[in-house]
Amino acid sequence: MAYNTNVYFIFLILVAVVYSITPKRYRYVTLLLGSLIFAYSFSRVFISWTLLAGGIAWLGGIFIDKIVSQEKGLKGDEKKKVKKRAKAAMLIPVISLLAILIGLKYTNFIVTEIMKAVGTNSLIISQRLKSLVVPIGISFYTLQAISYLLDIYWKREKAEKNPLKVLLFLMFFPTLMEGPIARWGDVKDSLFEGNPITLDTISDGSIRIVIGLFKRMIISDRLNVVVNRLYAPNLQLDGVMILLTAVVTTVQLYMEFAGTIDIVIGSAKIFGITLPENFRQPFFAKSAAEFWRRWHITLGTWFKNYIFYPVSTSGLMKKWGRFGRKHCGKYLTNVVTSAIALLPVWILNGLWHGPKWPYIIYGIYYFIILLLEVVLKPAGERIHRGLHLSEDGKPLGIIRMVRTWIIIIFGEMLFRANTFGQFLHMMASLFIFPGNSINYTLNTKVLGLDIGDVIVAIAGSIIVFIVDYKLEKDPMYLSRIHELSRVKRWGLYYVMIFSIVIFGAYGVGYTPADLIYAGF
Amino acid sequence: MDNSKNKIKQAAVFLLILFLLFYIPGRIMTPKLMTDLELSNWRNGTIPKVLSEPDNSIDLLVIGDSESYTSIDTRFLKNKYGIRAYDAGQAAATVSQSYEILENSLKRQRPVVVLYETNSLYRKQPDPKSASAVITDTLYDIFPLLKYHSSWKSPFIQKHEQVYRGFRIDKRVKPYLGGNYMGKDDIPYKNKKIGQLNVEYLRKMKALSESKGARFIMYSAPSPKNYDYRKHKNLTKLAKREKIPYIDMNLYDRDMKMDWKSDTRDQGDHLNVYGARKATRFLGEYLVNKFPLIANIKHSSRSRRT
Repeated sequence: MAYNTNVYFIFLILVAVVYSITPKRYRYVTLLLGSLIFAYSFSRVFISWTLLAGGIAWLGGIFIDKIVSQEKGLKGDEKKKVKKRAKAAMLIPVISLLAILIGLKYTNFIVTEIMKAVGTNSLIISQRLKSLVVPIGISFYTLQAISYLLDIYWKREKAEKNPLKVLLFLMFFPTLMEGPIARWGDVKDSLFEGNPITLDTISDGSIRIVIGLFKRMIISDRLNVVVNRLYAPNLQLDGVMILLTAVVTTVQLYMEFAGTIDIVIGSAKIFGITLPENFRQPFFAKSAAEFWRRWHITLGTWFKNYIFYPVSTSGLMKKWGRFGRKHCGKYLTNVVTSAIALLPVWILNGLWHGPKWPYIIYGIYYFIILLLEVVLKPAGERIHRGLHLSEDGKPLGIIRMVRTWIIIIFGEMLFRANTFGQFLHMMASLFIFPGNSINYTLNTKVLGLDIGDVIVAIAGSIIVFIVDYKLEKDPMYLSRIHELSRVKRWGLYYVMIFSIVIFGAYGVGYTPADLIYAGF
Repeated sequence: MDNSKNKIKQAAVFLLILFLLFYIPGRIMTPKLMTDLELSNWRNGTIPKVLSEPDNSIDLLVIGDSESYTSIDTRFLKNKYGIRAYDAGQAAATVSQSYEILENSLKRQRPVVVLYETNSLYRKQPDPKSASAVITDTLYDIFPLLKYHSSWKSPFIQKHEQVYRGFRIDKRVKPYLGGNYMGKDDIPYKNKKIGQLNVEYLRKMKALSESKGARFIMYSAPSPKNYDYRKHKNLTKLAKREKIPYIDMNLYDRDMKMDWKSDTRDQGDHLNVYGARKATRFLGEYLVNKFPLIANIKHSSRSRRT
């Protein structure tokens, strides 16, 4: 019942019908029941882990809230005592949630790596580890549950007394597989409100879903064939092909993830629920740091709020700041502070994606890049002044954008590689010129595509790029569709739907791309 | 109130137009028209092509995946035996797709023999009773446009061969240099199991063929890339259990004088026209000698010609 299947859309319609006939105050229960059915269709009996996480978050939230509220009016030692108790009340559920996540998702990796390191190979242990099944969406709902608990601990939110609401927050079916990672404060108003489904919500949601299907079915599912072939083991590629691989991988990944998020946000919109955006024209970023404020925004925001800020504002870092500014200068203090705060963010970011070395190294890759951006910033500014390039000028903007593209495409190649060894091999082959790759590139059939496929994939990507460009200039660009005359508006809808039906990569000869982030 | 009524009306009109946009092209584009407009060159164009053949014009129907339409030379069968054969294989076909092709073909054709190439028995067969498959089939029935949506690609498909009654006349040569591949001690492929669903479809194909008076025969085309001795043993066992005549041509590549340096178009995956001719001669003799029904076609066709 993944978001790109016909079963999902039938399910969505059924839930919408039942939701509409449910009394307003119980509509959230309908959504929860739908979400339980959805989760059960993937996780089966392992849904119990998800329910357990919901229970921990709900109870933990109530306890934390109770203790935190005792702080009011207290001073001195009494206040410190309560604060200590609140910290313990926060740490117990957070550690429990992390223990479940690590136990289910990372034990296999950790034990296998230890076994490799000590040179043993126990078949029984390997078999037992393989039998560990991870419930769907565990990486997403665990982060949401932790953010919920921490927000209560930091007094940003009040604990929810109703366990069903907490469970729905963690399991809401459109977000369960690929996010976006919502915070309690982002969704609590619309998720439990029982907003009516109207023609307007259906229309708004459906448009967003159609946009998502366009990205997925016309571009991502089509390029999926090529990407799978390009990463086949033992395939020897040289320079041109490696560059093509890097670009195609990036485009495919973007269309897959952004397309799915469009479907997710559109599905929620039908129920009058507003979810946070996860993408904001990422390829218009002028630095890696900006890229991460535009790509998988909710994950970046989560790490910023719950790892980066707590680390960079911790007592130890404050002490270092004072010491550093006095003895080492502002620049070095800033660099060291950034390094210490960024390192856990990016190690955890890599690990969050899964127990695989390419993901971990992907995290380290961005840590190095972002740190370099901090380290080289003054030198860069000096060079720009020397060359009379304005910091806000267009030429420098374009140079920075191209530089960011290069960082992104090699990052995505690392991300997609089956092993780190494969990535290294591909990077080494980048400088092999020019083998048979030109013929290889032109012989699209070898890549699993006909020339028609190539034309459609390129045309589709250009259309998405143009729309992204328009959105960059005017964030309200898509909502202006409503301002068009009915003939133009309907014409646009029909063209979009018809394009997906005719040019979509489905049916005989195509394998839809997996929901890549659903595996995390 | 008026406003919401108006909105409902608008939505109904929008959906009606959308329905018609999907429904009408499916009714206009008959198999014959699709074939005449050369819109059946995409993988799932086999059904429109077979359906556009004249009624009762096929004596021997070949089904399966790409191994089928690259191994049976329909020209050769026509010229040597007077057998009107048709290759109705589909690239990367699953067994259920072969069944569908057979079902459609038998609407207008009365072949004496149905030859099924076995390679697709090893291909994963999605469950036709799954919710996804049922929804897809229902949508395809109502809106054939969805099923044949990739027909727009036909003009873009690079043709390396001419086609005669489904047979791909491909003259490309890319040698297979791997040597003997049917040794009993060869390392087996990873996946040698034939799924239960595949077996069920095999039974359905046999039953359907027999209900229409056709003999159902299994054969394995010569292909070092797709066959080995383990598969041969499995298929022989299956054919025996299902009481289906079976010939594995991979055992006779020397008898056929197959030269793997010149008779394959892609390093032993598929035969080219030279290899197909040798395979067809061998299979033709086998069929004519073993099945009187086919010998009768031969005579009646010859008498028709004279």
